[in-house]
Amino acid sequence: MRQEFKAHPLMILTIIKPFLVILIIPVLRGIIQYLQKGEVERILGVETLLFTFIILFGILRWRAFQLVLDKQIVTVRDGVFIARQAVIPISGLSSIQSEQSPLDYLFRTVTFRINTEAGSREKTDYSFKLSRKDAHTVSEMLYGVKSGEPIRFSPVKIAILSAATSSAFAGILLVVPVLNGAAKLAGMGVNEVLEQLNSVSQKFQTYFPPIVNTITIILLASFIASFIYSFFRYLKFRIFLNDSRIEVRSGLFVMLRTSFKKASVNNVKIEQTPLMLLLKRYAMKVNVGGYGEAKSESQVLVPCGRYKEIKEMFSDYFTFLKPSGTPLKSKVGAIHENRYLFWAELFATVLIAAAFYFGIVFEEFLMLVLFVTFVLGVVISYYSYLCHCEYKRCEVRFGNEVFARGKKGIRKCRFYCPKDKVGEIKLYRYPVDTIFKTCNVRIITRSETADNIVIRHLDFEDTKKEIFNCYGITE
Amino acid sequence: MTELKLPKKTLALWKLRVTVFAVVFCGAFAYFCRVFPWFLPALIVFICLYGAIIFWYLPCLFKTYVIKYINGAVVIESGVFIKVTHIMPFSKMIYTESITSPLARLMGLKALSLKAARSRIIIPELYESDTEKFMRALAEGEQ
Repeated sequence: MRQEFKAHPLMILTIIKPFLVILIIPVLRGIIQYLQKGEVERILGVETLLFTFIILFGILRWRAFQLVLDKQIVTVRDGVFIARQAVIPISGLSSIQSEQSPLDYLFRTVTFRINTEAGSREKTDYSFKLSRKDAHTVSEMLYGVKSGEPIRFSPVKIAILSAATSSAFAGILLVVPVLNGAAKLAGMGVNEVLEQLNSVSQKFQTYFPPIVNTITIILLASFIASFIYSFFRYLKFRIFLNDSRIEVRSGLFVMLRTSFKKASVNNVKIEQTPLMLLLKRYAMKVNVGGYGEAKSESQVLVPCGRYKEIKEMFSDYFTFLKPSGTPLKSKVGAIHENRYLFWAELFATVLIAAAFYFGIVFEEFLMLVLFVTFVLGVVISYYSYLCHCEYKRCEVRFGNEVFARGKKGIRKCRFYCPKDKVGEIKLYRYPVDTIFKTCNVRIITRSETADNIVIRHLDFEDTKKEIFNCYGITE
Repeated sequence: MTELKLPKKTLALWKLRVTVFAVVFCGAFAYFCRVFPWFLPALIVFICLYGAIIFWYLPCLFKTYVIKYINGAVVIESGVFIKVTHIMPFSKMIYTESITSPLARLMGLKALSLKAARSRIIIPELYESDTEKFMRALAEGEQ
């Protein structure tokens, strides 16, 4: 049955959104100035003209948009001056995402994003807003009527995932634009905001100088902001497993529903962050081909769980979670262990030397130096622990499935990938590797983001032989 | 096997596009010629280049364009200096997209973009009905 859908007028806002910051903020500032001083310094005629033009363009683009669903085909018409019409078989859609933000909720709309593997990297193929009634019909046609029984996760597990994936850096990225915008509107500069923070940090009585307090407050506040954002994003997390599709729903304020093909899954990663390490829990992520504007192609499937639980839950669904092939491990011995710990030992030596130097030269900042040394010391200790684990437990298997166990950044990682989804296997050797007859193996999946893992210091000849056997290569 | 050639209107459309571009460019060159006289030889070279493109290169290029719709794949042959043959198996094609500019719309033409994972082939403007038929057939997997 052929059905046609028009976009909701709220889509005009989405179209003109990139220009809003440039145009709206000066106008708003003008209004605030008028309210405060009773006069307007500058409202530019060009800005008003541009604003009208952009609104008009938004309306025309909204009017031009049309979605047609016809049995197994999706047709999308878009564009004002350059009109585009895409005919996409539903089987060709790699992922479908529907999102309902508070604004969508207010206007009774739903944002849809449809992606194919042919789209540009980090960009959704088609994004549009539909009224809730239309969205319901489209959902039924694209996602199917029944999704089956969901697998749910408790808010505690979601909180662990959120805490484990949050960072002060992400919080800063999240908060700074908002703070900056608000400060601009209020007519405040960044310096004034920092001064306020300084005055707050001086009230704390600690052994450390006020600068340490200020940095700690900024980092803590940013981490909390990132955690809250992440927690509400993942809250009510459910997954629905179908024979050919996987559907993930999450979010409290911003409700997100994502569906993707099982065949589009490139690889599975079972990861453990430092916080999860303390709780002996793991998170499972899948790398999905053609995943639109997601920054990586990664989708969390299990926010938090025991390793055995995760394996039991998914080993029948993703058959490549049962790896075959001979395990290749690192060589045993004190020399080889030291090779894994080389960088950690070097960092620790440099840190101690630097701490002594700065402690003697800048005596008045001794507490600050001690504080920084302590923080860096903790980081280096964790890094050396990871390296030690890598030496003890790193492993690669090349069978019908490729399996690797090692570390990825600051996480422990188990990497599972079907043999045919591997894009490239790179063996690279530094001069030291030539002496010890070892190599480093980088396994890269056939995906847009080239998801990969590196396993270090494996026996070169054995590794080469296993790869050749696995892919039927003869020298 | 179905074989398609580009319509004559497509050549006219591209000649028109190139002319519009050339007029704008020549205008800019003429303006600079008033200030810097040494822009004149460049203008002459540009006009010669424009003539070569309009009267020789474009007709030759469009004559070489052959779109073959064979069992299980689309084969597109083109090129004047360098001959290129694109072979896109249906199994690798993810979706098709038509693109029209206002000028092409007036002439009843539509360009076609065949999208595969991380690559695409653009077929210059065909008649609207042909494009629609082509897209529908590719989407439904008819041969």
